[in-house]
Amino acid sequence: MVLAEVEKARVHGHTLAFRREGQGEPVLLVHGITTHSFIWEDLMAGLAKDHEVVAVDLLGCGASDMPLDVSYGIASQVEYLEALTRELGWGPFSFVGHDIGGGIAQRFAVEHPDRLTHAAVVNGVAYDFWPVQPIIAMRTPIIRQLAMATLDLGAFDMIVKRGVFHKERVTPELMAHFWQPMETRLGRKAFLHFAESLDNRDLTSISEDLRRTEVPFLIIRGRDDVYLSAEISEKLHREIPGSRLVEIPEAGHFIQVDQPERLVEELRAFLGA
Amino acid sequence: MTPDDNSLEDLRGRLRVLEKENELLADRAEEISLLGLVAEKTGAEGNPLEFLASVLEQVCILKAIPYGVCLDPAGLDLRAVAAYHLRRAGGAEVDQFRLHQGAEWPPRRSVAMDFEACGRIFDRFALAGPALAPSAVALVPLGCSSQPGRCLLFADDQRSPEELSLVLPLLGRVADLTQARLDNLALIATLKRLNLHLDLDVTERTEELRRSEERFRTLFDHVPDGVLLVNADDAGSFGRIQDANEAAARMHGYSLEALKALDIEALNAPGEGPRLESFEARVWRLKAGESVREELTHLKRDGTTFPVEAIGTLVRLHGRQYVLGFLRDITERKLSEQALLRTQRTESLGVLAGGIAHDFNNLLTAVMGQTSLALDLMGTEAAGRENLGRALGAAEKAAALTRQMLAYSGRGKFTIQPVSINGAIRENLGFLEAAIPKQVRLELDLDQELPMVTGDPSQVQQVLMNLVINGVESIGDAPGRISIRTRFVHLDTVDASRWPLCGNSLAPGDYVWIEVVDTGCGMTREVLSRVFDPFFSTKAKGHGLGLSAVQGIIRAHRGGLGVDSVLHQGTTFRILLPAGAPDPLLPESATVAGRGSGARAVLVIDDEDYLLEVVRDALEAHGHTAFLAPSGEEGIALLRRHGPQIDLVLLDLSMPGLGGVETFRLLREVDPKVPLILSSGFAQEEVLTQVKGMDLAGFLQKPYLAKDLIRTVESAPVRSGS
Repeated sequence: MVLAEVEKARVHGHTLAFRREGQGEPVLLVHGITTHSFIWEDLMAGLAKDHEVVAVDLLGCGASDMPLDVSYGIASQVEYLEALTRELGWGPFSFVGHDIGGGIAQRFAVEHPDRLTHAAVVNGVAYDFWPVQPIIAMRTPIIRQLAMATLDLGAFDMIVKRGVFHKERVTPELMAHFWQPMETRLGRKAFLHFAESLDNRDLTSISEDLRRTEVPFLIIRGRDDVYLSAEISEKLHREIPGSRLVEIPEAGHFIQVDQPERLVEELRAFLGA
Repeated sequence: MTPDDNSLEDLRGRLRVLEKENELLADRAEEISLLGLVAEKTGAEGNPLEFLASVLEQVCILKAIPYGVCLDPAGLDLRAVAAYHLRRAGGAEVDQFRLHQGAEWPPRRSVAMDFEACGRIFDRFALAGPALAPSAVALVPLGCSSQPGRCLLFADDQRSPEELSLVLPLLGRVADLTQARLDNLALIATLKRLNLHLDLDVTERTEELRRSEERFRTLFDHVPDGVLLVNADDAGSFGRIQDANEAAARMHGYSLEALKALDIEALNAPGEGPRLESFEARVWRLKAGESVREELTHLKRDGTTFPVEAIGTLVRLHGRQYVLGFLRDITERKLSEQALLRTQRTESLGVLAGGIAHDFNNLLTAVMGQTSLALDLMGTEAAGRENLGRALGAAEKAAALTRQMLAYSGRGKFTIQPVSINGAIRENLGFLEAAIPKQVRLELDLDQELPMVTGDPSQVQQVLMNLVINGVESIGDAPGRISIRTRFVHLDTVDASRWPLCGNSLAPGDYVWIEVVDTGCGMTREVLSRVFDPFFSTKAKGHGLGLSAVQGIIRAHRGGLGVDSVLHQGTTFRILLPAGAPDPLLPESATVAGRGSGARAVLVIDDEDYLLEVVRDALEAHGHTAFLAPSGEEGIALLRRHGPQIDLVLLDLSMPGLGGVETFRLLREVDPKVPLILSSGFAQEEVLTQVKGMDLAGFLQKPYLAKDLIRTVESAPVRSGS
């Protein structure tokens, strides 16, 4: 895997890193928790054939800034990405989000509908996927599990492997990309801060608005995603008018690792190659 | 309650127990994991502060404690040496802790307390970064022997002191691991420091040794003298060459390796001359610190020998005895010494010859003057006239010989003008060819771009003639060849050893190179060494003045002269003459001779009575008046007395007492305007150099004929203002 060169842009006083490839209608690729822009690498070339593709590192992730005194929650990431796409000089663009990125896509579509031409949610979070903020603490099991993973490559490896259908694709090289932010104390703090910043109210509060959105939605689900249930995708498909649901077999949570070609195919069909 | 209800309740109870057990197991797993991680760190992390920071981070993350710090006491202040703050990017140094006076530190055992109790220990408890309101604080003493006051502090914002105290046993075990590791690290650091000192010491000394060795070797290899270290054990004679430098190897024509495989005896030249044995004998008698210096003859690998100056001293190395010898090749020095000797001899012979020639000239001037006067007085048919004519002829031949002698002494009659060497050769081709027998071929190889030289054309001719005749005579009756070659050369450096025979030190510059090569019988080394000596000749009828005249002329021309000769093969004479036009030496007034007329009154100053007489007779015979002065002083007195009557002064340059130059100067003081003519047996150039800047009316070279005297006197400028 050869990653494109990292570019940087200053947004609301912080630096966001991103990788860019191709020319054409702009597409923003947004990762979720435990990953960063590298997760899109196998899709970049395919999508870049007819689009300008930008894979961003969310604030607190990858090579972007990791301030610990601002929220990395979904609502706040929407604002950073809105500003970033303006900084890039983009008009309306397509938003492809994975995991938390899928949640950000929904909130972006609701808050800035005129800025999106398409929204694709790939194994995305939605509704009440996460504990409510007032009760979230380091002792929350999901955070404890993630916390453990920040200190222990073995634990992290387990989390990644559970999320991939084709286990043999979890190579040391791939794990090195996953693990890279955990190599610094600040990276580990930022990761835990990201987990702590998540609040399901950012998504539950827009469920009504989603029913009225006019942005075309594509919902993609890896059939073997053990982290996010089929129920989430199905509910999104039910509630978003005109949305399309595609289920991909032999694909886990990290569907970009399991089925990159298929994913490109579906996205190009949706975005209009 | 039905049995079913009972069993359901029972199941629920068991489920609750299992859940509780599960939670406990998860906690246990987490604790084991934490201890595993800490243990892993203790094995891997070598920096104690980084190790502490890692431990604090692991504890905080896994036990969900937002803040942990390691404190070192410094008086009442507690220094935060490492810290972990979940919501802060920075390190430990920003947090401030201070104890109350009298507070116990460190606590004797681990303890958890609320923030109020904490306030009884800490006078100041200030964490930087996002606000953290501690609900419970735990203190865990580390018990390090290296840092006895060290203690861990954890602050939680969720747990109660009671809940936090449940973590204390785990924190205690973490503290044990940490303490052991920190003490080990402190020990390792001390050891490392000691080792480093040792290493540095050893490294420094090794480096110093290496530098010293390098210094020594560089010196050894770069001394221009040859250096030999020779075994000198027991037997009383020198042995194998143990070590040598490049100079020694080069000097003897060996490679360094080959030289080091030799015995010193291999360098000892056989035959006569200074012997190594005597040197050895002297070295053996040396006391500590003494050395022997001797000139020896050494043998090169190619069998040739060369003189060396050897300095030897006895040295002891590693318990063995050696002779340390310094050798200097003194071939050059010997050559220069010989050249110096030769130059000195030439000089002294020159002085002698010049003196004799000078006296002869004076006598010959008288003889020739008187004879020519007598001839003038005699009738054309007078008896004895023919005899006088022959006497005059013989005197003129004698004068020619003295000119050769003067030429050798470098003081011959000399005119200064631009001379074309090629021209001189071509002009004299007829004479040269006439001097060469039929069976000898004369070849010319002349550089057409040859510049002029400064000199006397007739002397240059004399040189060429003498060398060609020398070549012809060395070829004898056999067929042969004489080549004259000229070249324009620019010399950046002049190898004095190539031009040993003229006594001049040649400066770098432009030169005309003249070579006269014959295919004659050549010369033995002995003949070669004396060939330029005056009166040395291998020919039955030779005067031995030809080549010595060549030498004198070239010396006077500030040139170079060398000769190479191989017996039975031929001889090459090499001449270098500085290229360039002459400096005008004569003042203009002397060269533009005014033409006077009528009788002149001439003051004649010369220390030789017979000369005064002949000059007076000649002057009077032509209607002139002579005032005669046998010394400079008398001449000056006469000029003072008769000043205005005297038209001209004829002054001899070489006089005892008040010399010619000084007389000249004083005469000028008495009368700045009286025309002055100098006469001398020495070369005009030499004379003019001495009186350069003073105005001369003319120069009369001794010996001169009466008619030369009269012509010079009568052509002298008329005294201005009279």
